[in-house]
Amino acid sequence: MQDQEQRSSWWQTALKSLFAWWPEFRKSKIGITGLIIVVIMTTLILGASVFASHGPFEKDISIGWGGGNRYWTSTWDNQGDVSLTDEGVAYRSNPDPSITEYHVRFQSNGSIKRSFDLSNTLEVGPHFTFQAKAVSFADGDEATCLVSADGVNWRTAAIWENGDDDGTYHLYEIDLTTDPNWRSRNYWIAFEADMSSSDANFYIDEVAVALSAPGYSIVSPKDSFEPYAKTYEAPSWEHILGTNSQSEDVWSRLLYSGQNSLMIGFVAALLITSIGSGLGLMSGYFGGLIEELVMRLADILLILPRLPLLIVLSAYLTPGPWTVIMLLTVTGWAGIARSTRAQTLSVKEHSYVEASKSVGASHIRIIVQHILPNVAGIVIAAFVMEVVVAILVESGLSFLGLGSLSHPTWGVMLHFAQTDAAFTWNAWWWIIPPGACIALLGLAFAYIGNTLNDRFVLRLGNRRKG
Amino acid sequence: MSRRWLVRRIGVAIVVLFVALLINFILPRLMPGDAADIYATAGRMTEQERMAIVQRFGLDQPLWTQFTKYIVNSFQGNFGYSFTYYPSTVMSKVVQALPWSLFLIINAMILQVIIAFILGATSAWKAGGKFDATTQALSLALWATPMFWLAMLALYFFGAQLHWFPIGGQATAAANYSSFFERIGDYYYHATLPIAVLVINQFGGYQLIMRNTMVTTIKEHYITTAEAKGVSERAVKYRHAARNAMLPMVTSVGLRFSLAVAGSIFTEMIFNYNGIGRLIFQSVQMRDYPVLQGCFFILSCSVIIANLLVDILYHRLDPRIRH
Amino acid sequence: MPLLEVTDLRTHYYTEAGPVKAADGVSFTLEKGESIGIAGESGCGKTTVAMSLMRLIKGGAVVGGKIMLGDLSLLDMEMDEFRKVRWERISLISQAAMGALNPVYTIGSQIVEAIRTHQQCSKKEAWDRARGLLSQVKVDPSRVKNFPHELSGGMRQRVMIAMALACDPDIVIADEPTTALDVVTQVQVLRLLIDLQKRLDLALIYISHELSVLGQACDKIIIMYAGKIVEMGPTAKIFSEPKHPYTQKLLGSLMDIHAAGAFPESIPGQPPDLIDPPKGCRFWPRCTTGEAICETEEPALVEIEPGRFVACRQLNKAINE
Ligand SMILES: Nc1ncnc2c1ncn2[C@@H]1O[C@H](COP(=O)(O)OP(=O)(O)O)[C@@H](O)[C@H]1O
Ligand SMILES: [Mg+2]
Repeated sequence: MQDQEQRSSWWQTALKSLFAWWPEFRKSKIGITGLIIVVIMTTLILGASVFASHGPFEKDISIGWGGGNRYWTSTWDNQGDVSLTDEGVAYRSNPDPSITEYHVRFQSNGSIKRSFDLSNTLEVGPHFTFQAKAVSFADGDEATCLVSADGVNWRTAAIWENGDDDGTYHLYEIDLTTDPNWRSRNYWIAFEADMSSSDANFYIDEVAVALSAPGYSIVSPKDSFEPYAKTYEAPSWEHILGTNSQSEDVWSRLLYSGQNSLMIGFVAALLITSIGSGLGLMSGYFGGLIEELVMRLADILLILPRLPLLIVLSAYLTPGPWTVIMLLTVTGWAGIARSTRAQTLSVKEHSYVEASKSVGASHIRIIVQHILPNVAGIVIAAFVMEVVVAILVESGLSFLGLGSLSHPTWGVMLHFAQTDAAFTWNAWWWIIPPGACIALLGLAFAYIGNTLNDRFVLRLGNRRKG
Repeated sequence: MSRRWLVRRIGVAIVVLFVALLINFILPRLMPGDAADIYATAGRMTEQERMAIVQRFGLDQPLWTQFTKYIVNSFQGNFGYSFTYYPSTVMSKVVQALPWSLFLIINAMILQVIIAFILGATSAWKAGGKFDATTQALSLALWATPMFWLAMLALYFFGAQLHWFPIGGQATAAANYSSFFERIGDYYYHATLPIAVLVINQFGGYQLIMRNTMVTTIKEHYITTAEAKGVSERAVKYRHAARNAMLPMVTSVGLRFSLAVAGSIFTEMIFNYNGIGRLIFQSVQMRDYPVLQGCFFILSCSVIIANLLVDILYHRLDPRIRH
Repeated sequence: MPLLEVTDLRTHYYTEAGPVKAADGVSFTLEKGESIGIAGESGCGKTTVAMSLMRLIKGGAVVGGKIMLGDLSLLDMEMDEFRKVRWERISLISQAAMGALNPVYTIGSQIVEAIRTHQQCSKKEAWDRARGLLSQVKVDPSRVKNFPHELSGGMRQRVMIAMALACDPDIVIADEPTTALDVVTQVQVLRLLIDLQKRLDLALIYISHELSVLGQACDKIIIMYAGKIVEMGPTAKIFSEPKHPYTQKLLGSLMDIHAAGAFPESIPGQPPDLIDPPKGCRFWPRCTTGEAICETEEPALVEIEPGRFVACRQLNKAINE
């Protein structure tokens, strides 16, 4: 027996201690429930490309012009040189009265795809143009007209044009602030794309235009427009969770956003627990200056209010998944460091650690063989709980508008649901699912973590009285 | 011993405050561009006004001078001007908002502690039973639910749909209160939903601590003594067991104060409640850095003070460490 | 009619491995003013018997038997009714001197609580009585506003005794009341208890794993082994002519200290597992004089002479022959 233990390598010991919780864990109903939920949700989320009905940034915009005698507007006269104008609406007759509906799918690969109700005009043929008009800026609307790509300036309209097939893009920028009347004006935002085929389904790779302003609405210049975009569609077979203000399929958005939420939560929790427990272990084991430094830092971090601190920090930084992960880690390691240190200290007291030391075992060996198995419980339980906390905090930051738009999470979804006033559209299908997903995944992890805590850290479950 | 302890605690508080200030000082200066821009750029500020601020904060001087000036200014409550609300000062915005937030937070925390006290004690009383399992599952579920989402739902159902509560604000606009009670009543009416959301979302943390301590407390011998004395089950449970088991929960109030602060940011935002949280949200939108930093500092102060108060309260509650 | 009559008491604890039969058919009687000692190795079920009398079994239940206090059948009473029996009729000085008092209340208020739970009296009266009780157990009455942690272990145990007397109970159960104390204090507390028992004409159930202590304190002694009574009788008889091999061994180890000052020789072997106890005599695995039949046949507790009971097949056989 003793021999066997000696022979088993350190990683086997480590592995064993990593899974020591399983036999006890199996007996907990609530823990198993959590585990099943996590497995199902993770499968759905990671298999988004299979389970989602639509692409990650796909918009469902069908353009219809009922009746052959309907007119539809062309956009602007000065093609090629796109500019903002509030005049210049031209009319053109329907080129092919037999076609009543076009499906246009906009796909923006990971770039910005926010955020206005697109009233647009379509010109079938070699040129595809697309426009939206924003009107009714009230005085006092601060961010009146915004094209937001990550890092693009406020109050600047930028228009990308999908250029020639060689993949070049032309960027048009119009600085609205140079227009002295920009607050009271009506604007057009437009872009045009060169289409090589007249196929009814075409794709535009980069739609990097976004217009957002609090309290503005987009109207079509003529009432001859049919509603085009499938915005705020209630759940149907085609969109099982309906669509949002951007004509995106909520179910698909949900799965793809889940990938980012889960990734951020998981990676942040991993970093937090490994750094936190590493620091805690070192300060408990070696003591001295390291301990003093780490623990005082932890004290300070534990007292400072974390969310306000995170808000201030992220307001200064460029949003992005790694920024969030970094910030969560920097502000989150202290709790685990403290509990790991306490546990390490109490293990260090044990005679077998002293014995190993006197035999001359190396620090690494003592830590891996004696300390690690005894702190593993705390660390694993803390990791699971930290996933929940990280997902929740990230969603909160994103909800406040500090999230990464290029890697939208469930929090980002809810942010847009809030800013686009989804509830006034009664679009519950856009608001309930993302929150419910956070809650469900969080609950599942919390059930697992709590069970581990009970059975493994507090040992409530298997306590026997003597 | 007691005085030394107090001095030590106050020392820690001061260090943490200092760190908060340091963060506020360093952040804008780490950003590309001129630190002066952060402090002295408000939309309608004249060059003269700008220069005055540069002077006041020594923004054209070496970093060290800037820092000392910054600390001095901070202690005078001077955190510069709001970008968006110039010429309002940061301090005036923050001071306006703080009482409302504290109103929410303190009410919510008291309710949370009471609920957790009763639920935690009851679920531990029959640990492993149905009630225990249900409350634990429920409070964990509520804890894992994003606060802002709960708030959105509450606002939608109880405000917009059922019209039971106002859909925003902290008091009836332009109200003329005939009495103090009417005023307080109106405040509470507006605060009901925000407080309810805070409580529902956050009592679970306390409840967990309460329950776990209670589970070990009811195994203590003095509980057997109390039962043997023939006092009623209620008295054993609350007067003897829960009264002892509540100590860790009470200490956690200090640390959890910052969670309540975090929660209030979301509820205030959703319910248009003009506290610090909403101010933070608006400042984030406008990138009103001075106000944002002011909010962070004032919240740090509140949390530090809450921690101190709780520690002192804890000393009062536990006779063993009073001496 | 005896004051207390326990008949065939069976108490089980429920564990994952199965029920622990911690008291398995315990019967004895207690007269008014009589003091009875229960002895036996740690884990033999002494505390279980005491807790069963108070109906304070946790993690288990009394599964059989009868406990009569006068004409009250304690096990059949509603809990609300039974609470009135607690402390008013039977009080308990528990094993843990350190932890038996609630740390967050003053000792006075804990005594007052006991009084006012059972008796109608004003607060002031109750506090006065608390002071009186303290002086009765030789604790300075001015300490009534002290918290438990401000008292020494011995004083705390005196306070426990005072509290146990608060409602003039008929029976006081003292479960190893001196175990956690230092030797000098042990003697003082023991003296106090004996003295009070005599003076107040209390019925006392004194539980200890030390036979010598019981020798000083009790009129009658019960020897328990593995959840059962193996021998019971007047103190003098038990000490002078122990019948059961287990009692003999216990006394043997006691004699050793007195004789040679040597460490008592513990009885070889381990007490049996109470989840699955031996089929026959429970002491058989450790008995040096046992026979084959002892392994399979359980001995009954037989009255070999008036007031003297032994559960050993060899002895019974000897008597029958
Ligand atoms: N709550 C419990 N759960 C399971 N077993 C118990 C419990 N309490 C006591 N026991 C077992 O019952 C037996 C008798 O215990 P106890 O009455 O405390 O013995 P004693 O007081 O004689 O030392 C022991 O074997 C003990 O392990
Ligand atoms: Mg005992």
